[in-house]
Formats: sequence, structure tokens, C-alpha cells
Amino acid sequence: MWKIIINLYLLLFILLTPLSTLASNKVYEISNELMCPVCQGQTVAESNSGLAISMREVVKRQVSEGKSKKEILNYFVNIYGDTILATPPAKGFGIILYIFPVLVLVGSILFWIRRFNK
Amino acid sequence: MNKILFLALIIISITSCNGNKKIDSQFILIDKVISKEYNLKKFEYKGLINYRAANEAYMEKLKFKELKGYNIINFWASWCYPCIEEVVDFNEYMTLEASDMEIIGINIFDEYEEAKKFILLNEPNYPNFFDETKTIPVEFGVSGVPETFFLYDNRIIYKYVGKLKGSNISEGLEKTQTYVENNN
Repeated sequence: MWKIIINLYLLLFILLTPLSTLASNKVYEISNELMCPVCQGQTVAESNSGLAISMREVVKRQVSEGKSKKEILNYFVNIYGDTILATPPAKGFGIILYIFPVLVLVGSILFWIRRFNK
Repeated sequence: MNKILFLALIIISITSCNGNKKIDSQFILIDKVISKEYNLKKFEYKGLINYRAANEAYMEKLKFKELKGYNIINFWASWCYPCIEEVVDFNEYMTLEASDMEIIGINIFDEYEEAKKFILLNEPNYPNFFDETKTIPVEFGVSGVPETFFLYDNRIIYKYVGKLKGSNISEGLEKTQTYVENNN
């Protein structure tokens, strides 16, 4: 009898541990994609300010409610705007961040090809 | 070529501007409904015994859904010096007979014991709550303390960032009333 109970306990432990680790990993992953609005260059996952603690708590609750990463990030964007995202969205002024390096790269390649051909 | 680049930069800068929120001096227009219900711990102290509650929503626990009329929600912390000065102005406002607005204080980013000391020392004559959930600042979009929100029912109309002076309370009320009348 005891053997069965111990085995069941171990089985539950093995099954539930990865689930809780997955959830906390997801909380960390999402928090790391949000910038702390009152800190300098720190994400919500890194900061210990009152607001970052609040934001982590909200992320944790929304993850436990089964919300997707996109839904949670959108929730924060609706409140704090696009600047809350650690990775700027590819629209408006933020598009320069994506296009400019490519333009510089292509431009410099063309420049060197033309120079080389001369 | 330079002209095209210059024009492109101007167009991108204009399109990146956030047009959702209008900033009117330090009052920021929000217009958002708060529908969640929070069971917050209420600070009980002597100064509240004669409190003239017009709103059942915050007699025991704060229920945003049931808020009626015009309300001010002030976010504060015990370590915030301007918050002490605000209590003096809010207390004065609450003694005015003609005031149409109720004030509710919510302590955030703090420890309960420290917040309780602040309350006993400054004795606000309006109800104050402790945020155990640690989620309210995000729901309201608070960045720091002090921050004050002007509500109509459970709808946030304006937000004021920083220390609110006595005259700003009436100004906020007038702005909120005008906005509600024009947008209802």
C-alpha cells in the first residue's frame, strides 16, 4: 500500500515539476520582453522597482489564466504604449531600426563593388 | 536625393506619434473603464469615524464596479514626501461642504506597517486602502507616486502625474465634468 502511495507521489512530482518550471519560464520570458517604465534600460524581469514587481505579478496572473504571450504583451502595450516593448515593433519610427542597418549594409556592398570594378 | 530622405524622415516621425492620448497640461486624458473587482485591505483609524460616505462601493472593501458619481483615486506610498503634502490639501478639500467629489487613497509599492504609520501620522479624512494584490498600479497605468485619477462611475477620465495642489482638485473636477457632459 505504502509503495503505491510513494510511487504515485513520485509520479505526481515528476509530472508537475516541469509544468511549474514551464510557467515560471514563461513569466520570465514575457517579463524580459517588457521594459520597466521607471528604470533605465532594465527589463521588468531584471528590475526590483515597485512597478516592475507589480508588472511581474500581472504577467504571472495572466499566464496562470492561460493567456498567450501575444495577449499579455498587447495588454501592456494598451496601457503603456509601444515603448514598453524591449523589442520595438516594426512600424512608425521603429521601422528605421530594422531598415537602416540593411540599407547601410546594401549601400556599403554596392559602394565597394563599384569601387572594386573601377 | 537628400530632399527625398528628409521628407521620408519627416513622414516616418509624424506617423510614429501616438495620437491616442491627449495631454492637457499635467492632466492626461485616459477614458478607460475599470471593471475588475479588488478586495483591498482598508486602513481603520480614529480619523475616519465621522467620515461622510456617500458611496457604498468603498465602505468596507473597494469595488470599482460599484463606484458612482465623481471620484478621485490617489496613489501614494509612505516613503513619498509629496504624498504627505497632498494629504493636507485633500483633507482641506474634503471638509468643503460643496465638494462634489469623493477621494479614495490607495497605498502602493509599500509595506503595510509603514503605510499604517503614515496613516496614523497624517490622518487623512477619506478612506484609504492597501494594495495587497500588487496589480492595481498596472491596471491604472501608474508609473510612480503620487499619481491621481479622476473618475466618473468606474470610468477613469483624467490622470494627474505628480503632486496635486489644492487648486488642481477643483480644476480636475471641472475638466472631468466637462468631458463627461460632452462625451456621454
